[in-house]
Amino acid sequence: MPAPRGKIASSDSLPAELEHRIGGLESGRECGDDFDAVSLCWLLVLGVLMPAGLLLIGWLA
Amino acid sequence: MSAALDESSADKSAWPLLLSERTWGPFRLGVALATAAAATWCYLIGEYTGYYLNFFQGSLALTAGSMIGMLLVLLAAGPTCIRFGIDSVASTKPQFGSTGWMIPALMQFVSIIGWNSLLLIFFAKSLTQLLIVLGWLTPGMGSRFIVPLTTLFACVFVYWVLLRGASGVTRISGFLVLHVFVGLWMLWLLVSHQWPALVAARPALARPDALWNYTTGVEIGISSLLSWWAYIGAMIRMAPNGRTAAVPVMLGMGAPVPLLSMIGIAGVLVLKSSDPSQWLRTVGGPVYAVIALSFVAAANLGTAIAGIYASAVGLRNFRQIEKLPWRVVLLLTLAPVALVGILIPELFFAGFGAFLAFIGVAFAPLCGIQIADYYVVRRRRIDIRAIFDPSPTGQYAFWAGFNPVAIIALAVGCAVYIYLLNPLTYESHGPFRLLTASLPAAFASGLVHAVLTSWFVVPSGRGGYRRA
Repeated sequence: MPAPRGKIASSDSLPAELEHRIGGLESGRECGDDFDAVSLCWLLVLGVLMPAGLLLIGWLA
Repeated sequence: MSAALDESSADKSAWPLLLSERTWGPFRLGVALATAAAATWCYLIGEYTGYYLNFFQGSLALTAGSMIGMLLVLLAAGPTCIRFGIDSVASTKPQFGSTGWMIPALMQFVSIIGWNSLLLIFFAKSLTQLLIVLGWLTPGMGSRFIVPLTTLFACVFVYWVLLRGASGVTRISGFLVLHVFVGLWMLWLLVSHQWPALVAARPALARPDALWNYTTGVEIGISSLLSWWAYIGAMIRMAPNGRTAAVPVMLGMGAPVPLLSMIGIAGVLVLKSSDPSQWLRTVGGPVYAVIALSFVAAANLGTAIAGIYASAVGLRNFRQIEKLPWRVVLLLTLAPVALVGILIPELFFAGFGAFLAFIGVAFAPLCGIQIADYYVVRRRRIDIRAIFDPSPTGQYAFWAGFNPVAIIALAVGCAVYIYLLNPLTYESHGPFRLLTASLPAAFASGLVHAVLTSWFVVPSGRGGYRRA
């Protein structure tokens, strides 16, 4: 099955389907949200605090 | 081409996914990532850690390092991939340029193809051993005929699954994820049977410097997880936002590796073998051996499916490949794996690990560059149109499509890493014992990228950076 691609090139030579996707992203309609405060808290806990705690426990053991 | 067909095949391209196509929730994403993460390399990672640390310290150091490595990868590629629904390779265009992205693309291709060649050869060897244990095959035939044949069979199976694109990954991972629990059962089996010996065991290559040993365990965890950079974009772009992806990535992809690596640590400490398919027969007889071999085969197959998918999506960034049918892209991605597995499995097994060790060195600097660029220099401003604009006047064209600053920063990071720790000999210098090698390499690359960009690229008006 071919990749999605437009049949008609738009003015800046991007395929029409890609142009449609980029247009949606630029308007914000199709854009996903970056990490919010809650997910950053999880990243802090799982990626910084937990490793620091584990390292401390392992070193003191 | 109808709109419906466009949507159904969007996950087989490198183009941005629309929100309606990004349907993986936390559970589905976590399962797919766990299936991708858990493979035979966990035993190798555990084995290397077990050379330097006892079971308790090794498990904790490896877990801590893995979570740190996972965080770096997620902060590097995650935001751009999640916001715009693109893969890891496409996310490097703002840093490396509209042509320079081929450098990370090459790293991804070599890393994934190399690792997956190894995994599929492991798969073939496990299947061969399984047939021998079941009495369906005579010992001795394996390496000459059965390993190439089973490698070919595995490639055909991976191809068949991935004809469905990302939905193939998620369908097969829903079943193959069970092997993670089989792995935990094997760990419990080993720990419960061998606990006194495990507590008393001393690592074979431990050095007199306890801090060096401990830091090496952390470094093994960080550098192992940094290799997930190559995989992560193709998977998390199926999630609609950062909140959906954060915890599944950290727990689904970050946690299974150290957990299953404990099998390798315990195995090498107590039984001098990290491979459960070898020692489980001793512990539990042929039935356990069959379970272990099935586990190893399933684990490697799941990872190979995710890896080949990520690599095929990465290849789609090349204009010539972008237009090819998906089945042809899959064939292009699988062909090197099949050729290696069929023609030179033993030679590859013996020598390619060294090359992959050096490839892995580059992922820490790459992450440092992406993090510094996204959070410090660009302040989270990415132009999605420029990512897909290959013209010489595009914002990310820099100089002839390359950003020399990112390339210099990558080289500096690699040099810092290799100076601090030779990944082949484990000879170390300077502050390795206090800082690891990956973290200073990532920091040095990020710093060089941020400083040189501010000094040279921003004033030149190239790269789409905003002047202060």
